[in-house]
Amino acid sequence: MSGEQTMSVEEEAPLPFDVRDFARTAVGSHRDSIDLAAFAEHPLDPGTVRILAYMRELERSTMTYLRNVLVTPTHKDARVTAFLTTWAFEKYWIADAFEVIVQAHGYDAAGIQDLPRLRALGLEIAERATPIVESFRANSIGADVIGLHLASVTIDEWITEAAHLRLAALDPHPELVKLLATVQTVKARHRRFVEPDAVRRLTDSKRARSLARRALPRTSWPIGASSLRRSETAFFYRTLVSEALATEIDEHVRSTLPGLSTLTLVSTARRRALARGGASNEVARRLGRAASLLRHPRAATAAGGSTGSAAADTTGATQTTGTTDTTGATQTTGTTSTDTHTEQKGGAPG
Amino acid sequence: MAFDIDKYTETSQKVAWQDLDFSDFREHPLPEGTLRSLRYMCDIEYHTVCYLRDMLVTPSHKDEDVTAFMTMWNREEFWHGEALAAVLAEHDVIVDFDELKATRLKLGWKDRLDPVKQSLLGNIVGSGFIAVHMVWGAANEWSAVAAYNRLADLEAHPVLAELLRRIAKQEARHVAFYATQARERLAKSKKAQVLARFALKNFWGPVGSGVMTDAEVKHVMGHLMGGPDGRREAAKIDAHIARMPGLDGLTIVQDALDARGIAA
Repeated sequence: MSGEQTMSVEEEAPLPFDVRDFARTAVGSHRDSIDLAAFAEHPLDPGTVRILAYMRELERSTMTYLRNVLVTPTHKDARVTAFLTTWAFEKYWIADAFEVIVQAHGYDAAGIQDLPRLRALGLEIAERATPIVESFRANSIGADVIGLHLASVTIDEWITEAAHLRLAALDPHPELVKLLATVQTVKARHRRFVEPDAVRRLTDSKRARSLARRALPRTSWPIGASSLRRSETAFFYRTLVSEALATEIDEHVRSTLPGLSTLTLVSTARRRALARGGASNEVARRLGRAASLLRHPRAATAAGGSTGSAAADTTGATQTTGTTDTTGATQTTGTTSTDTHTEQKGGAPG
Repeated sequence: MAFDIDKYTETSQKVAWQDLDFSDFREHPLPEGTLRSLRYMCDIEYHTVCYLRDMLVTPSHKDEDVTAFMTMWNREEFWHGEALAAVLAEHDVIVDFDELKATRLKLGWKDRLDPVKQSLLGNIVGSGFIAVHMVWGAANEWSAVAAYNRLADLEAHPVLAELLRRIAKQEARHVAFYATQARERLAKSKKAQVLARFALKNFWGPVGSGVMTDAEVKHVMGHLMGGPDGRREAAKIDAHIARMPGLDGLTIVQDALDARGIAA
């Protein structure tokens, strides 16, 4: 009876998000509720651990995100900053929970942030410039940028939610499922703030919509991926976000957030991640190809000549993986377990 | 003395005041001047996110210990704002987010080192600049500890004093982080010492100057750091700063009081 009543109340009048209550009841450390012995007894699939290590980095990237957000007029909205303060706190502890599990499995996550030199340099330049550029650009745009920021958190939360649900289905280890469920309750509150706020701000302002339409495709999804190894982002999409799921999230974006009806953010991010595309990879591929010719003149002769571009491309592709992997031994192991994981669990549930 | 970041994050809490009898303020309200200072402190605590932003635009944002600390620090300071807002509410002074927003819009956030300048400077100078931030943060947190303890002594209102001591205790942990970081980083680099000395000497201002009006800054400085006892506290903060590698002889807090004509 009372359950039914609660349901109908919730359906009829969703209460406005109480930021102060959110801050007051913030969820901190999950350490006490994680049973590490259960993982010692039944370890997670290596692919799951690798994903958790990646997700740990995503959750932990709040300060980098805030760095670019707070130089804009968004920092002037005390309600939004109050939310972001608690949001960062809760995400810190979600990252911590993932880290505890990753460490318990003895996984060396150090390589996730080791980028190939060229990309690291590019990222460094971008990171140095971003707050400056953002500051000038966004301050000239004004408050409309808040809509963009809230929309980006909203979309990121949708991707994460879908990924968590998928991970729980792929590796239904009771402890992991329990933790992911807790994490989802924490994140559900984040969505309850950002989603309606983003909708409202986009609905109210044509400029905010147009800004979001232009800026969102430039974001690397999931947020935080830009400073992590491409191989790990590719693994994330390959394992957790199928094309159908990406399309589904994109449809949700288009139908929920006003003015974004032309965007295919997640499908595009997925395609890019899996294609190992991008300028720096192309350079790496060429370098790899050149290096293979240098080191193996005989093999080069055998494959060369009129065998044509197909053979050269194959060599190139293999080489790219090689070039990227040289930076970290962990990575090579990881790549192997990728396929095992996908093969083992990939087709199983929905 | 090393700062244990894991221990800090694990024990980071929002300041508690629910166990304190705030209805006492209705019977024994605080004087006008004290409420004015509390309002200033409350605003500054809420505006911590603006300082956070100023810190983040430099290479500091990449250091895992630093980001862990900042996440917790930012939240603790927000809660100091909430606690002080609750005291003010008992005096029918309502601090809401819309009003804070208005302050940020009206005055603009112009910290002494604005983000663009900081980002340019920080990125050119590189990691040595983190040291500047850390010593800057330490100076601000030392000021905060001194201010809260001083107000607790001055007012001698049992409920207020207890709350302010609790806040000061958390601020002291922030001091420990910033001071440890600053000391280590300054000790390692002569360049960082020169830079920190230059930045503090030329750009440092009392916490809140830049976002609050000069009249308010002057009121709070006079209230908490004026007179012989206040000056003694200011001298203590300066002594802490001067003990940092390469910063001997700096008296930035006392200089700031002199510059504003605060009576000794």
